[in-house]
Amino acid sequence: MSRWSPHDLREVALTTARLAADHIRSRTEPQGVYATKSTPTDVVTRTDMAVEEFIRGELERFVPGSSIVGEEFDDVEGHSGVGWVIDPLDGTVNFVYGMPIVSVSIAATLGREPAAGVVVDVFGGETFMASRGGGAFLDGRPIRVTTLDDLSSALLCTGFSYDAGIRGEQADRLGKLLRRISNLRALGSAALHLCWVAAGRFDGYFETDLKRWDYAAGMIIAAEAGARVEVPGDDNGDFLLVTTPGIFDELRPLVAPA
Amino acid sequence: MPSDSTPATSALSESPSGVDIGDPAVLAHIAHVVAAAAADSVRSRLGRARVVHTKSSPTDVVTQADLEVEALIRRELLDETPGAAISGEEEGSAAGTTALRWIVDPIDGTINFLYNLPVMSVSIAAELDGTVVAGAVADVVRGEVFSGSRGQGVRCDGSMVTASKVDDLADALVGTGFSYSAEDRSREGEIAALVLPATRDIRNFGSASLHLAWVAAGRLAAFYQRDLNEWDLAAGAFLATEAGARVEYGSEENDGLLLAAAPGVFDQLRRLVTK
Repeated sequence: MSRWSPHDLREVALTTARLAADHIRSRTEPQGVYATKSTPTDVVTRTDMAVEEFIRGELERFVPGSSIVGEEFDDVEGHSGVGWVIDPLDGTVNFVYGMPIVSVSIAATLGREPAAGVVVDVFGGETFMASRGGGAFLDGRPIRVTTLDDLSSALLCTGFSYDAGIRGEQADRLGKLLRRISNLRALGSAALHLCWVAAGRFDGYFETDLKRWDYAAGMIIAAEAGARVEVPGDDNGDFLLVTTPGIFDELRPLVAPA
Repeated sequence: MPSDSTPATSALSESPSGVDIGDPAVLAHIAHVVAAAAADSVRSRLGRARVVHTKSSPTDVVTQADLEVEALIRRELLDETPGAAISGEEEGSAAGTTALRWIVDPIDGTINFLYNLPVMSVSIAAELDGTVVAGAVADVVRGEVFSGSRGQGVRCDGSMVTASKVDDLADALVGTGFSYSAEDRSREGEIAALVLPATRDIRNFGSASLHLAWVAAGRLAAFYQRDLNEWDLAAGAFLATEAGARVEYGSEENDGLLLAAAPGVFDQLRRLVTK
């Protein structure tokens, strides 16, 4: 057994994520494009890489022997039983264009199970966090999902895939969805979408084709806040659905990949 | 507000307040200061939204904050420019005795405010003899204020900003919003299905005037939405135009469509959103 508790790991993630957010804020001008990954849409900035390097250093210093999975660098396999899944800058496209809607996302695992998560809204200044069995918090105050059970009143959020094929399918289904719900937002940060569901600001969030670092922290925060969650995997076409429990079953067929 | 809040560059007239209402730069300054103060007031009410009544539909709501902040804005604007007409989202129009009309939205993004979603803005435009000549949009949560006047460009917190220079639609980040009219929803879905594959991505933050301010600042390459009201768009559309974006609104063939875009992608995007 690890000597670390989920609560300990939450505190490590909290300290590190807040420092990382300070680091991003100090680079307020969007940085130049540094490299292009899978498609031209997928932009990486110098800030991304610098901030991830900083986060990796801090986590390894706090918890030597950590395993680390991050967006920008290769996986590190540790021996402590503690793992981290990090996104230094969730909302990279927003950041590249100077849109002040970005977050830092750090999740902890114990024996490969989700243990804790922290998401910091860099320019909004809010901090969301949770640890397994310990509840979810926004700036220290407990948060819960909404109690909605009527889909037609739901305010939902989503994001669109970088993959042109998946995106085309998502686009084709928008009209039908829009007629069934109250409204739909798309902010460009998966981690904030998840946290805002957790805080009862959205009734639900769905997206296909996310990476693990996009949702690892936000997912445990939403689950601890009472959301019903469907984790992406090979068996469901990499589909993520996180909602207040009362609308999950009605919404799923409208948004899940065919 | 103290009378020394007017810039030294303005030529003061003998009006009761000492303000030259014919000078767009003076009007922009007033709009900026009042919008910033109103944004502070909205910010202090975050998380305590209370619905007073609904207007056209269950999603067209008015909160206590909408009413109180609009009252604050009206008071401050009339202190600075006595006799001005004021059109606001919540209290309707008050006739004036001068050529000046203020167009006010105390909280653009009321649904966001109600849900405690931290994306909303205060919008104030100044119209002289029927033409908008100055405006300010204040981002309530992040504290940025975008303002400008005719011929003077647009500033964000003091720094000049301009619309995006993008000329390839594939590189354009595009903002939009969905109307609350059920009939429009299908069409909006079809249009979004055309726009999504052709652009970098679509955003919808739920505040038209903030989207327009971000077009003015070159952050979003474009914004389009149908079914907007005068107070949603007056200040933001002015700022986008003044910052070099092309803006189309209320054309006969595209009744109800607002499109603001970087000149380099305007025509390409227009073909998609007018289908």
